[in-house]
Amino acid sequence: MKRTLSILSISLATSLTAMAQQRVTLSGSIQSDVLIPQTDSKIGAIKTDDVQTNTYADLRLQHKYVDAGIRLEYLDHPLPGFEADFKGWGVPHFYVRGKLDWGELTAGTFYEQFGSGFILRTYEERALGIDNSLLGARAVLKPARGIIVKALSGKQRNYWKWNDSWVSGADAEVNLDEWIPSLQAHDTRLLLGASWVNKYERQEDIRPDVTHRLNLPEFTNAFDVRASLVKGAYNLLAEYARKTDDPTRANGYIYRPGQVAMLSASYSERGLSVLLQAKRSENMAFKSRRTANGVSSAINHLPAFTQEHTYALAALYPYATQLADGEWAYQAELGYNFKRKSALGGKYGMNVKVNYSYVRAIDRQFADGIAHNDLGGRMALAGTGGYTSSFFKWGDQTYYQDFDIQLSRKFSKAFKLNLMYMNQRYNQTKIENHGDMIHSNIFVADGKYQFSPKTTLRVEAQWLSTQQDQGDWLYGLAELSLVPHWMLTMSDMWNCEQTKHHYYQALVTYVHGAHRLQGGYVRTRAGFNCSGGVCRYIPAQKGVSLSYNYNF
Amino acid sequence: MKQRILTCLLMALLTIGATKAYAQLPAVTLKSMDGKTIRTDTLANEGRPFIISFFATWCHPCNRELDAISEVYEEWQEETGVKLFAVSIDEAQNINKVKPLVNNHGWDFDVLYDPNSEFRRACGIQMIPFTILCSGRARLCISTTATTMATRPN
Repeated sequence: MKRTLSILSISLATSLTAMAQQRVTLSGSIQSDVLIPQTDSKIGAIKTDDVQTNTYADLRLQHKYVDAGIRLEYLDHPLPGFEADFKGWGVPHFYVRGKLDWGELTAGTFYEQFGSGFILRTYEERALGIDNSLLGARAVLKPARGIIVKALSGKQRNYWKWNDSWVSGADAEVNLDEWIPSLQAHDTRLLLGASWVNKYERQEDIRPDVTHRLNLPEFTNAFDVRASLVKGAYNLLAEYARKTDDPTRANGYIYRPGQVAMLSASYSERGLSVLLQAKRSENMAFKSRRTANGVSSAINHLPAFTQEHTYALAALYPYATQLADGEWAYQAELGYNFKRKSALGGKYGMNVKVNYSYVRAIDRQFADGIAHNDLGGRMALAGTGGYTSSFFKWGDQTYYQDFDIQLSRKFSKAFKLNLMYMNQRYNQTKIENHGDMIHSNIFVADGKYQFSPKTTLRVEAQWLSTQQDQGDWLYGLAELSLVPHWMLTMSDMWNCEQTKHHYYQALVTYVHGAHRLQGGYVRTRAGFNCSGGVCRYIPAQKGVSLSYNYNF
Repeated sequence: MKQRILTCLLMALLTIGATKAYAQLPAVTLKSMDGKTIRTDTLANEGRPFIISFFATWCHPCNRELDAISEVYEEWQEETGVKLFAVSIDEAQNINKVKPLVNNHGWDFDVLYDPNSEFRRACGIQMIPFTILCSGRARLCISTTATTMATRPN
């Protein structure tokens, strides 16, 4: 039986491959991350399994008129830090799409975003274990030049099943410059968009106390309008979204609409750029399951409105968007390029970037007069309007502040240096529910030296200085690239003040075409792995790490 | 039974992968940095080869890679007529950061926005930087990681 199935598979694959060379294209990818864990009681790393892996395999078929795809996921012994519901294996992603020049229709599971994602964003982020795809149908129409209309309906994925609720929506975008010739003549592009999303979820028995039961709305509606103007070096984006009453676990079952408003303006030409943006969000956790906890079942997405840092110590305290409680967030960025052969630019030029991010609580006057830090998962104000809020007024708490300046300069054909200074305030009480306000100064030096066309060495040195939490940290990294196939990396993050623990990694990477294999030994600290304002707590780990990626 | 299905799927995948070296681009509608709407399966360079490189404003290795390509881009274009499309996967609320970054670094590439990673996902890519090399007339593409590209000698 096994042999027959194997022969059939190979025959099918070979036939399809032959077809592929005529009219149909087959492509796919494999990704597998493996940890062979060890226990290390000093850092709290616990071995729970002999081998842990998150493995994904995609297969896609493309034709001029039809696409199809499936994804196999093997998460039965997942990497550390994933909740119990995450564990399992199967084929949770499958679709067929019919397409013509004027439109397409998808049946199966699909991903979609309306506007900036304020009321709908379904996507996949494997490192965080997020996959909130919809299972249903989606139609995209292009009825005329510059106009796109979308409609969809489906049930949302919740780990290895789909929520009972229905999520439906429609979106329309018009590029006015396609219809108004004078706009094009003046190098101006103007886009207007509007979206609507509805969630239908049946009544259920949720009680704020033993004598009362909440009368939960079965329909929740959300609307979004936006305008984007591009004229030469100027960009302007304005967007507003509103959600009707949506009592859920995330907001403590209050009956209050949610809203988010964003304004973003930038001026950018070669050598100079300025960006200013502000956003106010309030009660915008939008879930397809009222009682959902954690990252699952999110219909929308509001990423962190702060600078996304990837240097290890700059990302030690990452900000997570306060979806339910709301926030005022501001960002300003200035970039300037000192020209070659100028006084400050030197022989090759120098790039400077300054960024400032600030996130503050919104004004909230609670119905019971108590200054609640976090309503999520609590019943204190369940069934009430929750609070009143003055739109332009700030609340008392600063959630996050970050000022950083980065210099990037090439000193010779072989040597380039990046320097960064960052001053950060991180409200650990609000973001992580423990600790206090962490003030830190962070210094980074990142140098790259090319010994020959095939050999490059990159070295990083970082220092985080703070009086709070675990005190100062030091970080060092050395990365040797041997073109075209090899990369060797060694790094160590050292808590030099309190615990004195070293968190090290030694990795070897081999690349051949679309194959990438990485192996090594790691000892990593417990902390938050964040991407786009969504964070997952990852426990401390130690052991042999393997990773394989292949695209075809 | 589940294990048998898994085994067959994996064998099919690997067999196809072993015999199929290149693919055509998926059809996804994206916006360019100057506001035009572009379908990715129609990306072309007038019969000459072109490169698609995925990046993000927060991705230091991506920016290093594109800086390195930028230094030799003019030379590459003179020799082969190649064109590079840089696809940003920055999320929609950070999209206004892309143009400042591109202008700051002085990149002359065509830049496309992929704010929900639809094109990246359709190409089966998880990690960036990632590069796809496409032939001219046949418009068939192969994938390669970009980390070694810019330091590769001519």
